[in-house]
Amino acid sequence: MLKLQVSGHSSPEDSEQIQNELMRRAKRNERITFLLPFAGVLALIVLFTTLTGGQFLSVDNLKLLLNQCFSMEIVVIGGAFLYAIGGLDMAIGSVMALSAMVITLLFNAGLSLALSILAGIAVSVGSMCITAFVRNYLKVSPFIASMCVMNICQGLVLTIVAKLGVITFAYSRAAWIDSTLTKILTLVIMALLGYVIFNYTRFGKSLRAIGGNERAARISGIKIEKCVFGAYSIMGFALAIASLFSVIRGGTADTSIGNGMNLNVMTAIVLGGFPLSGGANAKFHAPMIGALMVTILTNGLGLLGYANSMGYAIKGLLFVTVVALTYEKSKGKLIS
Amino acid sequence: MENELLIRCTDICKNFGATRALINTNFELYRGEVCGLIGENGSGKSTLTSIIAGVQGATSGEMFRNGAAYAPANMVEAQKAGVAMIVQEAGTLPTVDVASNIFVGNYELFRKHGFLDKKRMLQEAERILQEIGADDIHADMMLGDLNFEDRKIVEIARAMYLNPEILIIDESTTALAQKGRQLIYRLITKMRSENKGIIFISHDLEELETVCNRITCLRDGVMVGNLEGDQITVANMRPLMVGRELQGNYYRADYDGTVSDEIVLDVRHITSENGYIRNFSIQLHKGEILGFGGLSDCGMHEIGRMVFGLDRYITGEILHVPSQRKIKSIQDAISLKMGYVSKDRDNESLILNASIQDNTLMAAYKKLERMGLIPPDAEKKLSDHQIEVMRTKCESGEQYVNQLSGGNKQKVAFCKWLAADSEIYILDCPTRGIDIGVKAAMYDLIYRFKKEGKAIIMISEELPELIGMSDRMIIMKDGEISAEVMRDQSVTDTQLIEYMV
Repeated sequence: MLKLQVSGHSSPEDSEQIQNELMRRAKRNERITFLLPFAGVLALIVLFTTLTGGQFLSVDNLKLLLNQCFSMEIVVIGGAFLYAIGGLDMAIGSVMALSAMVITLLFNAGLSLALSILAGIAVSVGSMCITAFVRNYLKVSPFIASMCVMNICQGLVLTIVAKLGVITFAYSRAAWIDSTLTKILTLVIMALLGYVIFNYTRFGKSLRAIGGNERAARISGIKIEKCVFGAYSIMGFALAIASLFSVIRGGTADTSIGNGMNLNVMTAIVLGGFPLSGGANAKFHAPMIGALMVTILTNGLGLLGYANSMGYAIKGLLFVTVVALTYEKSKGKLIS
Repeated sequence: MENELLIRCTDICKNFGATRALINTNFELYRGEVCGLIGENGSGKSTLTSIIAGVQGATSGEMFRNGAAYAPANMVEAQKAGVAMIVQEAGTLPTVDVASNIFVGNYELFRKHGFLDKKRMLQEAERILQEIGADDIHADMMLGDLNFEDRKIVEIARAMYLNPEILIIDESTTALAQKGRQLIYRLITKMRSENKGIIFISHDLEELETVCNRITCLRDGVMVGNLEGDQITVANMRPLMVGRELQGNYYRADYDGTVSDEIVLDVRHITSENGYIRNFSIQLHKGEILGFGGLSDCGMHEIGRMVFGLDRYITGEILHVPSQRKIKSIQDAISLKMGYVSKDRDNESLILNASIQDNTLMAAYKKLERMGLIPPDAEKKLSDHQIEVMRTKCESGEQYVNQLSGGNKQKVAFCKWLAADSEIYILDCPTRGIDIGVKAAMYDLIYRFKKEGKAIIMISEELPELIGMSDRMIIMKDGEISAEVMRDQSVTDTQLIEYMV
């Protein structure tokens, strides 16, 4: 009565074998994606060590490397939270500059370091929350909003510099901050805290859900607005901390602080294998590995005698290449 | 002429990552055939038709059309070769007009001195819309202004304008209500009389029984059977799809519609923001399956959204009676242990690009929290438990939802509220576009909810399911209740349709 007509010539055993092979390949791809950034760091180290005849691994250079990568590592710890919701932001660099300016002015005026830092954090978090506010309630793309915040902060810094001239941080009163120990401690504490919040709290998980599908997240009871403010605030906090170390190292508070940070952070995010649109594939360690790669690249190119400007060009090129290679174009818009 | 071959596919294989969607599939379509393609979700129906329509390429295998090798690189090429498809999910562009949507990808047809002859394009679009019988849609309307159903009709127009010899209809009828359905049937009859071929994918087996003259069934990517002539009956199709005999009671078996007097939700005089629903009141009881039926624009979906706090209402109140609290936002609803399964699964229920576990636990994190932290082992335990309860077909909880079939995705959408221990479920088209195997599991689950004293609002466009499951049916028309029908063996579709239109 029923005419059963099984097509296909493969036997069940064949079929199972093919299935296993396909599974193995999928697993392998997953592993490669995970390991690729680490391999990248290693490859860069080997490359520059060879090219510089070992100079790259000298104690002096490693110290320099720590100093160079320190600010960026702190920034990308915050960046992981922001980019988990796909919050592409162009104001990072100038918010840092403004925060450094506030800390320096207050500290130079005789305020305690702790209070100055608190003020810096307040200003930085406040600036970032402008973007969060615009995103939440005015429904404007946060990318556009961040452009405006960038201009606001830059304008403020330039105005103050124009009025007061060169502002130098009172280094002697807080020299201990510039030590390797302080930096390593700060970095370790922030990275650990960030890791726990990102992976083991409702807030961290909610951020990735928002990055994945905001509507579904809202319907599942996630308080989108609150989480967005949270993400931007953490970014602001990290920026303030990074700005303190930057101004102490650089000496003066001006627009040079945070210069190039926007591209650096984006490159770090992408090189580390962190999706720019955020979501479940966002791993906390990825931007940190990426930041290390960016710094090694900058440092190595410097050692080889290529001017800073050339470094920008190379980083820009690298950014576009990696985005083109890794970004899943079908999945949605890069800038939402 | 009569048995002339329209298309032949031999040994088609298609892999998606580790998933084998099609395994050495052979398929033929002859002139004058209306071939119903059946199979459970994830059996490969859509994959096969999308390969034929040029949406994607096969991993291996060959296709022949009119004796020559046929390998379309995209849908436009396939259309030029006389193969057109009306797709399962809306693929229209909302921000341009109807005519531009119909001719998208083929604007060169209206080329005039290097510019687009917009006037001719509008005329042509108007003509096609007339031809398929959609004279209330006009070529210059903005697509975004049309409702879901009319947008599907625009897609039909798009598929028809090059006069295809092979038309593929992919689950369209689950998305189309009465008007579009009639339109499709007319098209099918016309094409059949012109000796063309149609491939029709639908989960509505009764519909296939009346429309098709051949049925082909896929299971797990393999072609498992063909039905022709008298063999085409629903009774023959079901076991072919599932691979085993299904038990008799598909819906719940009892006809006892009595429920407790205890009211859980009291909806009092609510009015929707756009004023379409006015002064609406309804009460939901403990252990009740309250069915909402009607045409898709009757307002029943909006009621579900308002009750869950998703859409605002401008008058009245929704009271959770046991706690005497009012529901004004999603947060209120969830804290009162309400769950909502959206009609728009991929956009509103799930994060496709995230794991089953992430999706399952999205509404349950509060419950898992210990001193502000969420222990990973508790997460895995809860998620794995839900996968087991629902018998979700997957590798593990870490598998991404976008790799699952429609039915299994819907299971995950349900799991989310099970994991959150919901007591009141608002289910908007809970079995939309899923196959009978998973459907039966859903009905089972909903009935179990009822037995456990949970309250369920089931909004559905499928009348047999409403009649089969509800304790009480609310039939709506134009934003108002047109009838309230209690559970009874004698209730029929035709009776209810009277109240709907």
